[in-house]
Amino acid sequence: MPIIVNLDVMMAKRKISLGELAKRVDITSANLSILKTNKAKAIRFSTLETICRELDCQPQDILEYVPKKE
Amino acid sequence: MPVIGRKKSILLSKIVCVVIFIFLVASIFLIPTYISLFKANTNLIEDSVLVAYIVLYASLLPAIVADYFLFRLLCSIEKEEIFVSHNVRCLRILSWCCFLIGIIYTATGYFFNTAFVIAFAAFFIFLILRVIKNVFDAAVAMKEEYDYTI
Repeated sequence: MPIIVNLDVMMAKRKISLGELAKRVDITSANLSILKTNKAKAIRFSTLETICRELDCQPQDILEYVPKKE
Repeated sequence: MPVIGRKKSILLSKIVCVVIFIFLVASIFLIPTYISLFKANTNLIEDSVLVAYIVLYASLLPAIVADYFLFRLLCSIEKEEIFVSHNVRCLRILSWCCFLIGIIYTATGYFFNTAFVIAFAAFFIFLILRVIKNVFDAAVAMKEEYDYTI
């Protein structure tokens, strides 16, 4: 998928663990792990909003568009 | 009319499936009896008897396979695994079994005209199963999309 989730980078910058963030965002660790490992097909605005609030960042800090190589 | 619960309905379907399976397996040995009974009531010529043997034995295999996959489909539904790729595979195999039976009976129509009725029914069930299979295929994709929406 050309949309890359850089959640792990932001989490490392904020020094927050997966379990801790999952608790704060109020989603399961399994779901957050799907997001972190780029397996997610979509992200709800509400989830993105909570993640941005908890990590004190902008959506572009988490999501990145990388064009597919032809 | 009494409404039976989902679990009881699945159990009933499974029991019917097992009964049909036993009947189909028993038919391997009982086909000569069926044919002699049929022969006694009609004026079958010897060539037609041979065709009847070939047709019944040839259609027995897809029928057993179809019954087995129907049972597996029911087991899957019982485990609450509805929109999974395994069920799509079961439906695909079921539909091709019906298609095969349809082909066998179409070829038999030359000897027994009534075989066309069975062939038509088999092709119609094949078509219905293909539609259901396509619906399940789309549902599996939608479920995956939903499951991976965080």
